[in-house]
This record gives sequence, structure tokens and C-alpha cells, in this order.
Amino acid sequence: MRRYAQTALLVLLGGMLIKLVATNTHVRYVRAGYAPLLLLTGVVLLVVAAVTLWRDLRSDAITRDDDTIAGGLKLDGIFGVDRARAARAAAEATREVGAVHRDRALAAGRAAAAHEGLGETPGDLEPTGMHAPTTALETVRTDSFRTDGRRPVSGAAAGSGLRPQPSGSPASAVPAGSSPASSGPTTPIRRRTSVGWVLVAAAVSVLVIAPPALGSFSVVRAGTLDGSRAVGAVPEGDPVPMTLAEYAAQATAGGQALAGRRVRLVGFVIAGPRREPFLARLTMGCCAAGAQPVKIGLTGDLPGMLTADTWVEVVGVYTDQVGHDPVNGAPIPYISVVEVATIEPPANPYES
Amino acid sequence: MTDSRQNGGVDPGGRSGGWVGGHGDASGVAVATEPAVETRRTGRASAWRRRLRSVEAFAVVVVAAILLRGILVDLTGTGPRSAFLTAFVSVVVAGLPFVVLGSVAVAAIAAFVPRAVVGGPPGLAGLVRALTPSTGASRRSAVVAGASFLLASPAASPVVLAATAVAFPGQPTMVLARFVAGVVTTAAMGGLWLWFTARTPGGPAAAATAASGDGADAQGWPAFWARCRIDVVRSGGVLAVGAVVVAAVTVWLPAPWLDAIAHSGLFAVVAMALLAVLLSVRAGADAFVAAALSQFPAVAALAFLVVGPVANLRLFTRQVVRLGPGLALRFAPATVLIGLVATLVIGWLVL
Repeated sequence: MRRYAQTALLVLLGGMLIKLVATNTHVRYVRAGYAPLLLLTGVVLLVVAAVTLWRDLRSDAITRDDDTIAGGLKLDGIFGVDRARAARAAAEATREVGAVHRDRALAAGRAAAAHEGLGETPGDLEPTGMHAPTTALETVRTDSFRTDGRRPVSGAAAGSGLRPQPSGSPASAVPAGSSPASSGPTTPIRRRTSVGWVLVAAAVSVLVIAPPALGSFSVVRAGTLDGSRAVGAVPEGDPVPMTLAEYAAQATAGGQALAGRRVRLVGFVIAGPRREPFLARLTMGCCAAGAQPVKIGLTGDLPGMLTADTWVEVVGVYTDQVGHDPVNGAPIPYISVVEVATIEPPANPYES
Repeated sequence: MTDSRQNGGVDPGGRSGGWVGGHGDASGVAVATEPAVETRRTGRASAWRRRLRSVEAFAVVVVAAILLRGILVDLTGTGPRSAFLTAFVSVVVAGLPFVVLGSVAVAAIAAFVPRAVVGGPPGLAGLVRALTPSTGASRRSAVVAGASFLLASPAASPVVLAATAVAFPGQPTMVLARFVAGVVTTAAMGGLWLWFTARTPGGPAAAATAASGDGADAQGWPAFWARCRIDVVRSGGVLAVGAVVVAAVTVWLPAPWLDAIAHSGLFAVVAMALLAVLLSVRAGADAFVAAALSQFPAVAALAFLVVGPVANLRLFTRQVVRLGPGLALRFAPATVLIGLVATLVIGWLVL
């Protein structure tokens, strides 16, 4: 990925995050309380993109002027950007590095020259051998390592068949704790960024496809959450609005607190192994990918047709019937349905 | 395109067309720059790659996605493909804030904390420097070095711990376990490092500086911005790859298999540790990848969080390049083992 593509990716990601929050669709993927963090991240991404774009444009303009004046190196439109960058990086490096580094670079150059003379002897030289040229060699290897930054095996060393030894001298002449090779004037910093394309895929998925919240497919695949969480008192109201997880916890605890109370649950319908309907809702941990379902069996006064993935509001009473999840064997409590109403999907499809 | 025409205009050699033949020029230009490109990406450049640059490819991808929107939506439907996309996107969205925060923090350290103080980039080098008795360092520089190490280390960084707390809501013990196990692992690693590299010329610190690898960066504001951008792209990309793997596992691996692996005790722990080594997700975002595999027990998730940051493929390739395969091959498996032992002990005590 080139610099401009990286900047474009940052813009895309920042825009994606801000759009998610603005349209409140982030609740499909992460917890609702995540919104401020997403917004902040989006803004930071846009700022980084803006500043780097400005810097790139400005420095490219400068380099172009320089080259036009010098007349030597021709830059060919947008395709020449990287050559311009290399030239600029080299110029910057020579400008920025201190006298020490310049000296080191010069030493490296001299040593490399010396080494190329030596390079005509066949390889297999011990790095810490006892021949006369050893010291010269060590200087070469150390310095070429240091000035070359990203490439430990410099052209000269590789050409002569010398290979860096495991415990060998890349570090040998480096004084402990000294600053590591602050980029020699030769190679511009370059790291592979192809992996960024997967991020492009993610951003395009969100912005173009906008995948919906997880539904019955994921619920059927996963085992129901074990209802072994602490149970509190059942709140006031008739019918009592409860989350599926709360109901499951109360039911697993024996259901005494639910005696004589009507309960209202909201969830979507899934088909059980024998096509019998279950009520389900996903509980979000960190994000949708880790969401775990809570399943409640439906019994009693059911309408004839309930299609999977329809959202319903169920009013019912506790029953001691218990089923078992075929996926993980966990108990699935039931509710005896009094009435069922089809509803619009709630703003936040998950329970947290 | 504007650039190309301008340069065509000032080109004394004057390819036919100049200002007028803007489009024709562009292809000619691409051919003209080939030699330079060849030398830069040695051996990897294929013909289409040379013509289709990432900026253009980027535009093509985005425009195509917008134009083919209807087809794409139909293609994903509501079944497994849709679930895969949702899971993939959710891990990326959840992890991205911490990728960005972490990148900015690390870039700031790299760009503004004086090299002489930290002794190379933060991380392993900082740790070894803290462990080895330094003669010249003043107390203040030791404090700065320690603070930068803490901020950049995968075990104790506030960003990483905050990410863990967010990724595992309602499980504060996970944060504590990660902190303790991470510090123990890093300290043991430091000791191991001193032992492995004791005979290295220049001593362990020099080897650590070489191993950390990110040393070739300049300092100051230019370095800060450049590094912010490239770190977000790379770490975010690695997170996205991890998200793809996790989403594929949760959607397409048969449910009974996944359940069997998740409840296989020690095997689940080792499996998660190896997954962490393979995925190499940056500490901070890795908590979301681990949390997405919610079928696995907490100890297995802890193994992912402890082993991943100290031993992974990305680090390993870097160590091979910097230190040679011999040292790296001994060091990396030892680190995985240390991480696993720390995970099991701390997990048993804390979780």
C-alpha cells in the first residue's frame, strides 16, 4: 500500500466509525456504550489522515520543484512519487543525522569499499576468525548492518557469501544501549502494508453491505448461556419486563420468585431441533462475534405459525418444564405463554 | 493525472502528446518508470502490479463495491455468510479504537522520548536495560526508561489493560490475571534473554536492541505522523486478519467440534496459545479476538493474551532476521513455554 492509499484507508475507517455512531448502527456490532470511544477514534483517524496527506502533498511539491531545477532526475507524474520519496528520504536523512552518523556512514562506505576488494577471496570466512583481514571484515559487517537499517545483510556482505551468524556480530560493535542505526542515507524506511487490504474489506463491508445483527443462524449454532448468575429480586410490574438472561437465571434458581407473576420477554424466534419454537436473544460480551445466546422454550398457548427471526413480545408465566440444549447440554428453561405479539426489532438487538 | 500532464509539459524529451495526450501519456509513463520499480520491489513485481497501483486499486475496490451493492447484499443473504461478515466486522470495530490508541502512544514514545534515555525502541530493549545494572544512567533517565517500557510493554500498558477490561466486561479478574501473568512472563523472558545472550559480543542489551528492530526510525513530528499512519494500517490489518479467522471459526467450524475443542481442558489452552502465535495480533486488540471465541474457557483466553504478545510469528521473523535462526529458534519456543506455565499458574490462582 502506498502512502496515499494508506491515507485513503484511514479516511475510510474514520468515516466508517463516525457513520456507525451517527446512524446508531454500531449496536449491531459492539456494545451501545462504546459510542464515545468510536467517535473519538474516528476523529483521531481523520486528523492523522489530514496531517499526513498535507505533509505528503507538501513534500512532493518541494521535491518536484527541486528536481525541475536540478534538471537531472525527471519525475513522471503520480507514478514517480516513490522515486521522489526515495530522493527526499535520502536528502532528509543526510540533513537530519548528526555528525556522528555521517561519520559512521562514511566509515561504512570506506569499509564497504575495502570489503569489496576482499570480496574476491572466496567466502567462508569466520566472522571471528584469525586471519589478518578479520578486523576489517567486522567493521564492514557491523557498519553495513547499522547503516542499512532494515536489511541486515548488505549487498556487499551477501555478495561475498558472508552470512550473519546467530550470536554474531551484527550487535558486536554496538555499544550497549546506544542508539540503533538511525536510518542511513541509503534506504528509505519501507515496511509491508499489504495487510491493510483486509481493513479495506472490513470498511467496505460496513459502508456498503452493512451486515445485520446476528440472528437465528448464530443462535442455533451456539449453546445456550448457563443460567448460573446471581439472581436479584423480581422487579415490580404486571407483566414484569425481564431480559431473557434474568428469566433464565430465576428459572434455574427454582422459580419461586416468579410464582404468581406474569413476565414479559422480548426476543426473536428460532426453530428447535424438532421444529418447535424457542425464544432467543444474544448476550453481547465485547462484540457481536463473542455474543452468546440465551434460549427459552415456549409452551402453552402458541399461535400456529411462528417464523424464525421474527421478533416477538411474549407474556407468560413460569413453568418448571426444562429442556436441554443439543449443542452444549445446558438446561433450557421454559415459559408458559399467555399471549404473543409480533413486534418491530428493538433498537438494540442484543442484551448486555 | 494532473501531475502526469504537468511533468509531460516540462519534459524536454517530449513524449508525443505532451499536454494533449494525457491518457496516452500515463501508460507510457508507467513503462518508463519500470526499472526504478523493479529495483525497489525485488522479484515481487508482476506486470499487473506495476500498472495497478494501490491508490488506483483502492478507488476501483470502493467504486466497484458501491456499484455492485445490490449483488453483494444478495450474495451475503441472512445465513452463514451474513453471520460471518457481522462477526468479522464486529471484531474489527471493537478492536480498532485500541489499535489507534496504541499506535499513537507507541509512535509518541518512539518519536519524542530521547533515544539515549530508552536505549533503543521501547519493549524488550527497555526491559533488558532496566534489568541490567547501568553505570551511566541517572535516576531520572531510569524512571523515564521504566515508564516507557511500561507504556509499551504488552503486559502492563494502560492501553492494553483498558482494552482487556472492555473486551471482558464483568470479568475484572481477567485484567488482573493478564497483568500478573504478563509481568511474570516478561520478567522470566528477560532473565532467559540475559542467559541466552550472555556470550553475545556487546552483551544482552545490544542483542535486545537488534532484536527489537524498530530502531531505524527518526524522531520528531514527521516521524510521529508517519509512524501513526503506518502502525494503524499494519496493526489494524493484522487485527482484521485475526477477525477473519475467528469469524470463520465461529461460523463454519461444525458446532460440536468447536464445543469439543473448547472443553478439552489443557488442549484448549495450548490451542489458543498457538492461535495467538499464528495470528500475531497486536497487544491491545488481541483481547477482542480472544473474547470473540467465547466458547473457550477463561484460562484459554488468558493463554492467548499472555503468549501472543511475547511470542508470535511477526516477532519471530524479525528475530530470525536480526539475530539469526539459531538464537531465535531457541528463544521463541522457550518463551511460549514460559507463557503457558505462567498462564496455567496465574489462571489457577486468580481466575
